[in-house]
Order: sequence, then structure tokens, then C-alpha cells
Amino acid sequence: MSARRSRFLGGSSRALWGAACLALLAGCSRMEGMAARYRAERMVWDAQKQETRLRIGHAVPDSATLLRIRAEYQKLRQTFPPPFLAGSGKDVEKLRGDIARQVGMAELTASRTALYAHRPDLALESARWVASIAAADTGLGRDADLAAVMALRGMRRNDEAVAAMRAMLDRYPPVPPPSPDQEDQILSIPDAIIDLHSQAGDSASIGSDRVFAVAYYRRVLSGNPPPFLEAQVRARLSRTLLEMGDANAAFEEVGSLRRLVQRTPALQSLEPELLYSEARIRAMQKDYKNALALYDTVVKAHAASPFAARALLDAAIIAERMNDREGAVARYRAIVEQPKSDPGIVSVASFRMAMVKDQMGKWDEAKQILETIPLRFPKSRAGVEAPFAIVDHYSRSRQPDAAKAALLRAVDTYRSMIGRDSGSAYSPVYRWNILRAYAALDRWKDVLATVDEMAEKDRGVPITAEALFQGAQIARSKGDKSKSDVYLQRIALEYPKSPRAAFVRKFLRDSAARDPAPREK
Amino acid sequence: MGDFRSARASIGEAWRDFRWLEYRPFAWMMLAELLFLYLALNLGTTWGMAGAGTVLQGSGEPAVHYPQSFVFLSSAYARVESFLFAFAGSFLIPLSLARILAPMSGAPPTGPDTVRRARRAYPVALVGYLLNFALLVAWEVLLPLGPHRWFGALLGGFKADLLTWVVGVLVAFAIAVVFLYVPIRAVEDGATFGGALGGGIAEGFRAFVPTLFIILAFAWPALLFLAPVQLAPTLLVSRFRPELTAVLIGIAAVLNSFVNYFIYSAASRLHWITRRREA
Repeated sequence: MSARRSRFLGGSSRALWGAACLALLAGCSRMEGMAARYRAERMVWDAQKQETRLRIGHAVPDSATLLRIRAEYQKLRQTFPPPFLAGSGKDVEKLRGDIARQVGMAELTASRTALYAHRPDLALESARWVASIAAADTGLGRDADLAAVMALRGMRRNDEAVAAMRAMLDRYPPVPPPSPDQEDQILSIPDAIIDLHSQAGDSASIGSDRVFAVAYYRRVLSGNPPPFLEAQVRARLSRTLLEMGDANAAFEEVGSLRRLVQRTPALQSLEPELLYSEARIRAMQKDYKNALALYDTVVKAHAASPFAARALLDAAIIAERMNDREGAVARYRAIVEQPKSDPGIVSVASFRMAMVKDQMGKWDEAKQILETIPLRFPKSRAGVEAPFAIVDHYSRSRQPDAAKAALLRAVDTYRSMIGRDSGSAYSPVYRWNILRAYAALDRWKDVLATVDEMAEKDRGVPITAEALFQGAQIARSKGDKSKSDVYLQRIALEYPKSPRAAFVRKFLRDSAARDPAPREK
Repeated sequence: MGDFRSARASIGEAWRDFRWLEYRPFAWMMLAELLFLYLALNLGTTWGMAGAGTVLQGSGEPAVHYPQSFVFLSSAYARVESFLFAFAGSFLIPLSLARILAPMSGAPPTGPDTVRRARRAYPVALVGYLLNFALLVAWEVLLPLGPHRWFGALLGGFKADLLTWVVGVLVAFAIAVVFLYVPIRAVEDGATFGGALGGGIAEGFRAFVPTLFIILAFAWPALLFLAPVQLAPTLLVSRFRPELTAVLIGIAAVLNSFVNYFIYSAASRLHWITRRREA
């Protein structure tokens, strides 16, 4: 009896010891995890302090400094290899997720810094590594995917960037916002795709991008989202439909949005956008009088809304169409003189004001405005077009010497804009315009040098295919057949989706027998 | 006036007659506090997290993250200090007091009698400290509801925070004065629980002003180091190195240890002078 009892006691004490050891081990791995998380947080803090120290005295840090900052943030990745923490259990899993987030966010900062240092290749590698460790952390995964998109854009791999953005739309459903003024970043992706193609001068893709955006918004709406999200999606959908020129569908969407706003008092802040959209629909239906009245209501009743500047711009364009040049200029001036206007709108307003002033015979004022646009808004369509608008004026008024001087000034302007930010999405367009300017000046060697520069620096951008084609024509006309063939082969190999590609392939097949210059309208 | 002169004499005598043996019990508590701060500075290690992290976690989850742990360090340190004073200090402070008072009564400063006195004083010193602590907590609850609001409305910003802190410290010292004589009386010959507690509180009230003078005379250097930690912990953490908070608290801990010894030493002398005068 006593032997059995002592065996029982011995067994239960062993079990107790075992349980105590297990509890201690679990506690240890939890403490170890908390300590590791703490170390990771301290490394982030140290990296931030180092970044501040390195940035002192550098308004715009050079690439070497930026890469040193990147190295500071990369220390986390080097110190904490996945899976970050040994052990299992709910607590350990949570701690592992916390550490992964710290390391991931630091690596994404490193990715962003690499991008600023004009090293999108490094940025892409970092972003892809973070995506690989994100696991169930959707927030980190989203940020990693966004960083990858930015890197791909930096590398001019626009098709891959667009594919990545579209994949994000499938992977991450939009999160309903807690208030109408907060919007999930994912909703802005369809517009980002359109912007990307627009900046790259790929107007052929913009139409299909808009169709894709409309389909995406309608897919989200078919899931009966909560009112705030529904309002945001409907607003974007109606804007895209308006851009597509589909007034009837836009009208229907604006009607649905208005009913939603009436049902949901918290959505009253959408009133300026509703009025603005209704005005745009009227303008598309050529009901200019009512459109102007609605735009004026937006400007007067909702002056603080971002739609006030847009309403002024659209109203000014209508005034131009109605030959009310004074009214147009007054509205453009109101936009330009607003202290906190959207630069995208101000650049367009400035450009159009210059054009109207030119039509009114006030060329000196117009020229002054046009010359300041590239300096004030280098990353805008207006900034790209303004130097050529000056050339066009002199060409129209038959002043060849002034036109030539304006072309040379345009080249200088574009070169300085590239010098200011060589990684800008507008850089290919600047180089394309340099090419146009040299072509107009008959400086063929410079034209071909620019084509070579674009082939190297703007690889993958649709406008580069056009530059290569122009270069091939010029080279062949100047007797340099081999250079021309190299350009054409690059189009066939690197730009298979280019509208010129089919003709180029056919031309190259036939060129063994014949030797004409490539001609296509 | 006579009490003030006695207080000044007690301060001078306590300062001149510093004895390592008498101070040693305070040093033990200081070492424990410094150990906590060392652990808090090493939360990146498993042992640091298991030690100080467990205490810091009492302030909530953010307290075990970097650099927020240093924002919460001051309050966690106060908890550790209170615990040490209550449970270890209830023996160690009377032990030190017994050694301080031994030459005055002609007894040897070491030996079993001193330890016996300290052991006997433990319950009453603990109760006295717990009462002191309860009043302090009540005052800390009242401080933001009353004085901080009034000063905020009157002065606003940093000035209000500073004035609130000064008032808070003065009232905390005033509460400490009331209970300061409880362990001093508890180590005397023939002391009883009730006599030591009631008599100690009564003596605290009687000698309130000179005792407060003693406390203020000794405590101000430590306050200089504690003030930035308690007034602007977030500023210290965000603008400077977060670890600076631990360094400042460490300096304050070392100074406080000596300050407490000198305060008890001076108060014992004042108590002894008063007793002699009464006799």
C-alpha cells in the first residue's frame, strides 16, 4: 500500500515538475520574444536617429547619404532572420508577428530610401523580401506590394507595375472607413494605373484602364458595401465615367450617390462633389448655362472644398468655349491666386490662362506665365508642354529666329528638369521633347544621341518605342542603315506591344531583299 | 524658534556624524533599486525582460516597448521603491535607526539587541508605511482632479505642470513628516505597537515644521534629478536618449538613499533632543 502510494506520489510529483518545467519554458520563450521585439524596436529608433543625424545639413540628401540611411534600416533584416523567434503557442505567434512587422516596416523604409537614391532595383528586392515575410499580416503585405509597385515604376517596368497593382485589387478588398473623410488607399489604385499610363504618354492604354476601373468599382458595389465605402466607390465610379464621356451612366451613378447621401446624414460632406459632378454632366450635355450656375454654386457655397478649384477650372473652360475670354481669365486667376490650391489644377489653369491671353493679343503676359510653369510645376503635363507652346506661338507668327531660340531654351529647360529629378516619371517625356526640339532644329546627331539616351534610360516606356522608330527613320535617311536596323530590332524585341511593332517586324523580314527607309504614318 | 534651532543642530550633527554602519541598511535598498534600473536598461535581454519587464508590464502593454518603457520607468520605479520601503524597509530602517540611537542611549551599535529592536519594530513600521502610502495614493488621485486643473486654468502649460509638481512634492513631504517618527519610536526601549504608532504620529504633528525643514534641507538635490523625469518624461525620451531617464533615476536613487539616511538620522537626533528636554 505504502509502496503504491509512494509510486503515486512520485509519479504526481514528476508530473508537477514536468508541468512546472513546461510553464517555465513557455514563459522563457515569451520573455525571449518580448526581449527580441524590444531589441528590434530599439534598432528602429536608432536607425531613425541616425537618419536624422545624416540628414542634418542636407536639404536633399545625395544618393550616398541615402544609401547609408538605407543600411541603418537594413540592420534589422540582418539581425533578425526569419522566422524571428523559436517556439510555438499563441503568445509566441503574436510576438513573432510583432517582430516581423518591425523588421518589415524597417525594410520598407530601406526600400523607400533606396528609391530616393535612384536604386529601384534595391528597393524592389527589399519590397519583395518583406512580401515574403508578411505571412498573415495583410497590412504589411499591402505595404510591401505598394513598395514593389513604386520600385517597378522607378525601374520603368510599367507593365509589371500595372500587373502588380491589378493583383493588389484582387488580393486586398477595400476596408470600410470609420468616417467619410478617410479612404482606403486601395481604392486609389485604379486611378494610379491611369496616372501611370498618362505620365508615360501611353494614351492607348488609358481607355482600357478606365474600363478596368469601372469594372472594379462595380464589382465592389455588387458586394453591398457599408454606406461610407459605397459613397466613396460611387464617387470614384462617377468620376471615371465622366472621364470616359459616358454622361448617362455618370448621371445614373450621381443619382444613386445623391440618394445615398440623403439617406445617410454623415455623408453630407459629399455635397460639393455631387454638385460638381452634376455640373460636369450638364457640361457634357452642352447645357453650359446650367453647368456654369452649378459650378458657381460649388465655388460660392463650398469655397473650402477641394472641388471649388476644380469647379472654377471647368467653369473657365466653358467660358472659353462661350468666347467669354475675360470671364475665363478671371476664373483662372482666381485659381492661381488661391493660397493652397492643388498644384495639378493650378498648373493647368496657368497654362490655359497663358493660351487665352495669347489669343487676346497679350503675348508678353502669356510668355511670362509660360516661362514660369516648368519651374513651378515640373512634374505636370503643363510643365512639359509650356516650352513648346512658346515655340508654337513663334512658328504661328512666322518668326523663325525667335522659334529657333525658343527651341534651344526648351532643350535647356527640359535638361534642367531632368537634372532636378532624373527619377521622375516625366523624364522620358522631357527627353522625348528634347528629341522633338533637336528634330525641329535639324540637329540630327543630337536627335540620335537623344534616341540612344532614351533607349538606355527609358527602356520599357512606350514613348521610347516611338523615339526608336523616329531614330530609325532619320538614321536610314542619313545613310546609317546599321544604326537604323539596331533601332528597329530593339522595337521588335523590347516593345512587342508597340503599335509600330507589327510593321517593324514585317519591315525587318523584308529588308534582306530591299533597302528602303521605313515609312509608316 | 527653539525647535528650529534644534532642527538645524540635528541637521549639522547628522551630516558630520555619518557612519557607514548606520547607513548600510539604506544601501541594501539602494542596491535593489539600482538592480531594477539595470534590468530596466536591459529589457533587450531575456533576464532583463523577466525582471524589470514584469514590473513594467503592470503599467500596461506599451511599458514593455522601446522607447515607451522609459516613459513608464519613473512610475514603475516608484512602485518598486514603495514595495522595498514597505517590506524590506520596515526592518532595515528601524535597524539603521537602532544603530543611530544606540550611542545616545549608551548601547552598542551592533549586536543582537539592535537586530531585536529592529525586528520588534517591523509590524508598526510596516503599518506606519502603509498608512503613509495610502495617503500618498489618495493625494496622487486628488492632485490631477483639483490643483492641476486650477493651475492649468490659471497659468496653463508648463508653468501649471511645474507648480502642480511642486505642490505635489510638498504635500507628499508633509505626509511623510506625520509618519516619520513611527519607526524612531518603535525602536526605543519598551515601545508598544499602539504607543509607537499613535505617539509617532502625534510627534510628527507636534514637530511638523522643524521636521519638514529637515526633509527639505536634505531632499532638494535628489529632486533636481527627479524633476525632469517626472515633469517631462516624454520630452526626455523623444528629444534625448531614452536611457537618460534611467540614468537620472539612478542618480536620484543614490542621492535619495543618502537623503533618507540623513533625514532619519537628523529626525532621530531631534527626537532625542526633545525627549531630553521633556525629561
